[in-house]
Amino acid sequence: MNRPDPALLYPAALGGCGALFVVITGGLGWLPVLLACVLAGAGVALGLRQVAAQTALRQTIATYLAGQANFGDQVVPVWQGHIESSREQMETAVNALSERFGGIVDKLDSALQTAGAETNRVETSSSGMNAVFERSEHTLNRLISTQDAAMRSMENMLEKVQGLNQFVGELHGMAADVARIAQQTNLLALNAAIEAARAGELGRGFAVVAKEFRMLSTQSGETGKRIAEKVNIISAAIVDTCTVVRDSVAKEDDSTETAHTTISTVLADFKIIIDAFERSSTLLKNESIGIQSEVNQALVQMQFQDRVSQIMTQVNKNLDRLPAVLHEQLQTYVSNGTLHALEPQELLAEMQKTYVMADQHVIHQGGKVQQSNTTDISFF
Amino acid sequence: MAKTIMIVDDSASMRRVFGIALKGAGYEVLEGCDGKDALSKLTGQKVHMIISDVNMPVMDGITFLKAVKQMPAYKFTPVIMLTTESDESKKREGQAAGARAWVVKPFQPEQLINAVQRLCLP
Repeated sequence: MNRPDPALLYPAALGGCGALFVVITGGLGWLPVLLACVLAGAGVALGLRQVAAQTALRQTIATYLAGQANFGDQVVPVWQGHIESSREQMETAVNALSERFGGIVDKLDSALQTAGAETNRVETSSSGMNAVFERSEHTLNRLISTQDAAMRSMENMLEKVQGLNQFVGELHGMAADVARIAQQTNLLALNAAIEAARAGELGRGFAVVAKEFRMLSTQSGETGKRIAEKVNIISAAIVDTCTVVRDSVAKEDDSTETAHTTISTVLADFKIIIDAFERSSTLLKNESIGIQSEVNQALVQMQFQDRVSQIMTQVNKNLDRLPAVLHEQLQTYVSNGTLHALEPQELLAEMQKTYVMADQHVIHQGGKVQQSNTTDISFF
Repeated sequence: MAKTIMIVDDSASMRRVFGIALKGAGYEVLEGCDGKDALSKLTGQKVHMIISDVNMPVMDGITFLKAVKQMPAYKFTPVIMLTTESDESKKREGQAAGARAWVVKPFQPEQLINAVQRLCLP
């Protein structure tokens, strides 16, 4: 403990001097001696009172400083605990976030690669959607072409069958010719028979010939009739056939037209679906790329954790200095009674030595950190 | 074949950020959580570049860099120091130890990739 201040002896010294002065000037009579004693006693009493007061004051200051040091000892570790806990929580949370974001980026990347490969396969391979569509369109068009060809063939056949009708007319004419020839031949045979009868015995042989000739004529006439009948039957059959074929062609024509329209509609609908699928696929791909880019940017922003963590670690370390400074102040006072105000410059200078980032120096000088989008790179 | 880049950083989130940026540019990534851990993983395989933090526990980046330059297999492997440290004396220390570039965090991925492409071994 420090000694009492010598200035505290001044009242006792002053009382002693006063007593000596009274004795010298007043002599050793009872009254001067009594007065000198009173003066000396008062001086000593006053001095002792001041010593006691100063001792009490020093004790109070020492207690105050000890309290401050104790405050630092107890409060600073709690602050440090909170800072470290916050830093750890932030680090854990950012690590977890970055892991999840990283997972999202990986999944998006995988999805994009798969979608890209699938799209490529769909666009280029023989089993791809476009190839299937083109093949289906080709096959169905070929089917319609085949049906068209069959239709044209039936129409040709109809024309040919209809063309037979003119031969039927000719056959009718020929049958009529046969009948007319038979009739004339019959008439001629009849005349020949008359002439043979008129010739008598000489005409008997000729009469036989005329008879046979007449029979042949009759048969020719019947044959002509049968030909005419058959031609009529054939003609009717041709007409019926033409009617049936014409109806069939008309129906086939309607059917072909309906098939053509239906196939065109189905293919158009299919094409709309394919186009929508392609647009949707492209949109999805672009959106995925956009999301991936956003997530990447979000991950880049997480670099703040590294910087904040370092700053918090240094603040934590610098807080360690505060209890030491408070203890130093107490020790100085206790050892020599000197009371110094806390000096911030020394502590600030020590803190400045620990900074690693330019931002920390800016903040230390009371400035404001400017955000930058460029990377500080030095090549050696 | 993709080139391999080693990332050395004590922050798992930073390693992940680097990893995503580098993988996105077509590189394969090898990770170390500090200098000592990274040295234990340099076992002779081809590494086209090393990107290292400076302030790390166990073994800091400058000590790691000096150790790498002593390894015959990795003597000529370019090393980029990627750090929050902007102090000039530290930067000179890194340069003297053999670093090819000093990149201050935070970084923009495309600028980091440009630096990697510029310095990466063929």
